[in-house]
Amino acid sequence: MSFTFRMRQVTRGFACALVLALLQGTCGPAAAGGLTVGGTGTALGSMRLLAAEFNARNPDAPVTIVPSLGSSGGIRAVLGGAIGLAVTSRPLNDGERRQGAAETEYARTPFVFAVAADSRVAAITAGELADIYSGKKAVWADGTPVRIVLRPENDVDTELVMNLSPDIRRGVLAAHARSGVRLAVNDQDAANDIERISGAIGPTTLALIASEKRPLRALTFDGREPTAANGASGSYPYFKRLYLVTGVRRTASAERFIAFVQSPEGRRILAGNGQWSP
Amino acid sequence: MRRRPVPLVSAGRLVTVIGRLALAVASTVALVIPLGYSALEYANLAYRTDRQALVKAGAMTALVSGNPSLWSYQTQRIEDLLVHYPVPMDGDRVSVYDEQDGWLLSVGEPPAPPVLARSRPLYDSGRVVGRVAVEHSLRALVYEALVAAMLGLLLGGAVYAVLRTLPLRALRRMSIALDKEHAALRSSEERYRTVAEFTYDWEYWRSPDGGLPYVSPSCLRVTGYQASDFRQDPGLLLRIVHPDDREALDRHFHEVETPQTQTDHSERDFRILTRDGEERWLAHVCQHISDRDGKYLGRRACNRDITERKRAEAMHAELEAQLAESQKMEAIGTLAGGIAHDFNNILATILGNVELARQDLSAGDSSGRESAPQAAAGAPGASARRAGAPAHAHALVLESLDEICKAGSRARDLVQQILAFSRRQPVERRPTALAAVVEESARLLRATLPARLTLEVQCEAPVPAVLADATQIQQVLINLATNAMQAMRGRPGRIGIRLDTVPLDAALADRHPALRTLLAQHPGRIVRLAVSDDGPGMDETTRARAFEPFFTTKAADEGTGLGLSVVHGIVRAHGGAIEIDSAPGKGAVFTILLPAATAQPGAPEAEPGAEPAAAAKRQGSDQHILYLDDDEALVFLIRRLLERRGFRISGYTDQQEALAALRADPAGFDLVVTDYNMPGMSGLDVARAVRAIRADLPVAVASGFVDEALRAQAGAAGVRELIFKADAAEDLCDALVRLVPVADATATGR
Repeated sequence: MSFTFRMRQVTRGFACALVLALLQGTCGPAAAGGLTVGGTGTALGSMRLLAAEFNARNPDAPVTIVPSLGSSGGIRAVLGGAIGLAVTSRPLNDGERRQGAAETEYARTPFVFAVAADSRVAAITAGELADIYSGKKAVWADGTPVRIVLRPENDVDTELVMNLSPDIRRGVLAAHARSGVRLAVNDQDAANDIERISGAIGPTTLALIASEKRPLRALTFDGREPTAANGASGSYPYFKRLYLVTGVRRTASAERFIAFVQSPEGRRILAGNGQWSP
Repeated sequence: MRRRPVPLVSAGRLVTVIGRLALAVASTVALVIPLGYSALEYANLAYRTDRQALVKAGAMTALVSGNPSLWSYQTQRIEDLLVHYPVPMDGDRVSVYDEQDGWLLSVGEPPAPPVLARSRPLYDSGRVVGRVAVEHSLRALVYEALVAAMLGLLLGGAVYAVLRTLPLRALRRMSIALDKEHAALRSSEERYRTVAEFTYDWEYWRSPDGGLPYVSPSCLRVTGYQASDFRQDPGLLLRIVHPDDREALDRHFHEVETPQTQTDHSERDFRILTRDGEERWLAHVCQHISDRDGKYLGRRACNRDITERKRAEAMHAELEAQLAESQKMEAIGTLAGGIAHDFNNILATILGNVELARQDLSAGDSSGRESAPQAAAGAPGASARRAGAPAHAHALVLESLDEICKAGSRARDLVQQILAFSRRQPVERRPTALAAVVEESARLLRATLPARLTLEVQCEAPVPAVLADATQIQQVLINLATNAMQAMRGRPGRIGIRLDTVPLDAALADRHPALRTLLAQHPGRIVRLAVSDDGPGMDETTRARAFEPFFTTKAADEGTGLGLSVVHGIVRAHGGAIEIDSAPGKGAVFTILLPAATAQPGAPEAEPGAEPAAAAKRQGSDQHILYLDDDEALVFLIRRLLERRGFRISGYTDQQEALAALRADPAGFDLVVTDYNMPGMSGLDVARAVRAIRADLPVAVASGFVDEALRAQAGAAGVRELIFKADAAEDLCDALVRLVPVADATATGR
């Protein structure tokens, strides 16, 4: 074994130790005077924008956004005190509430079916979507194979998709039972898969596309264009509600950040990223 | 000595070995299948479980690395990952544990024990932050193992059954085949053994080492020794051989057992001494036996008991000797009888003419005499008459004639004895009580025997009558007693005569062939007449020739050598047998065996010593007799004798001339007398011709040999009487005179 190789290993060991130390510092239950926010990936892009703005104004109590934990994971984390504030795309259930969690709906965003930005597909209907999920429609009009990106059966997005129509529900169940279908565990993975897989199509939110500046195209669904405005107006009826969830102990920093999110500045930032306030 | 082939491995042992092998293979099958299946399946499950844990850990790595500090809160996502990446096996429970190995979540129901658990760590930048554990229930495997075990047991059982059954079935078939083969072998062996054991001859096998591995049971019958005696002591084989034959037989054995000298078969007769000491003759044949390579395997021998055959051969030889002796005696008798017959005729002529000469001289009357006979027989008388010889000369002539007559009489007696030996004397046998004959003979002998000799007579009563001629039997006794007396050579001694009966059996008949026919026809007792003496006895040579005519051990003037020959001829003429038991210094016993007469009611018993009625010296009264004989001298003599008695005689020597004379004057004859034995027509032929010419004319036939056959033929030919020609001419004339009818009757008859 050469000396250079040993040195490289030692250097790599130090680097790892440093990263871990940083992670421990940023990902702890709450930084001293700061706030850790985590939860559904749909809202994380927007939260990072809000946190940046908030931190700029409150450098003594910085808000840290942790990678996606999912709605349930965020709620468990906030109930467990691992984070100070969770952001979810579903409301609390009774059990979570009994544990002391409390939610605040702070925004809504269109629930869309997206393809890669370079795709020629721009619109889709409920019937096509049912055919795609059921496997009847296997190629796009340009001959590209249709590749579905599924979400876990218990995921909020899967529930939303199946609520679109009975045919789509049967199609989704059939797709889950079919082999060779891509399953993305979280919102970011789903967005990543849709981006990089040719002919891919999957559910996501306009907020995620906008806030993370994803090269994705939200498809017009049954002739309805998925914009925040259309969503706010009700012309595009499919949307996700976004909540801020606090645990048993509602910290001041959490209160301040919630307030900032609900502030006009916060709403401006949200509106600029495909969301609207309820 | 029956032996069963000995197998290399016993059937029971083979069955045990096969059973154990089958059990071992079946057990292996029964264990290997479930254990192998379980092991393989366990390994497979362990591998798959481990792979599942590995894959799931890998799938979670992105989640963990994406949020190293909070990944453990993403239980929903983790669950989704666990459920989908990859889809867990049925019954699996996948659990996730955090860095402190605290349980986070599980997917799936708790697996039923027993449980196979495999876990893989979750890494974040090379640091273990948790682990994924996959638990898989092994209950199905256990069930499958149990099923496999059952299948294994079934298969093992099947294997055991097959492996045990098929070889055993094959063995059974082989056993059946072997049993059949053994049965066939046993049957074959039994057949050969039966043949061997029931072999009449004594057979044995002598091995190269001198042993006797096989000796047939028939040796017991032949030798008196058991087969085991020979097997245990092979030397007995040679020891029982007669000492005189032992060396030659031993040499013979050696030659046969030597390859250079052996032949296909070698035969030899030898004697053995049985266990009882009896001497037996064996016909021995043996063979040198070698295998294909020429290796000497032994000598096979077969001994046949030929004792009876040897005895028969000896008896046959003895009988042949007896036959030869008998033929010799018969030939001598025939020769002597023929000579005696002719000589008797000559003597009759001589004596007849002497008698005529004496009568002529006594009468002193020469008138009516014929000249020719005077010239022939009475030459001295004629010479005296012509010379007017004085009385002294006359006396001298008579004396000479007496001497001629004496010499002629002795010669005639001699001839009579020869005729008796040759059985040419007429025999008239009738039931005779031999005791009386013996007593009469004893009286005669006591009167003639010297006083120094004691005659002892012993007659057992009752002794059955014998069909015999009493006179001849008496002659037999007198001849034997005389022979004994002469054998004493003047020394004192004893002569015994014993009459009794003995059983006639096969052994006796075998010694005396003459008795065989009698044994077949009238088995029972036979009369034995024995004459014994305590004289010097005879050696074998003398004894063998005792009955030969003219054979004598006496001085030339003491005997003619015909006495015993006459005895022999008389006994044989009576259908009896005679034997001599004698040895030098031990006297001699002549035993005569005569068949007892069968009951013949009305048959008169001969009166011993009774003389036949003498024919009266009847004078003829010119009765005419035709006398025919080819002997001219006899014709001349008879004519002269009868003419002196007053008969008229026509003598002929040719049959045709005689018949012609008769035919010319049939009524001119009162009697025809013809000789029997003549050239051309026999006396019987002449008698028949005479009867054809004149049936009532008496015909007499004279013969030197009169037997029953001739009597029968003569009766058939109408012959009035057979006249024994051997008697003196005077006797012959007496017989003829009896036949001539008396003058009155003759005159009437003419």
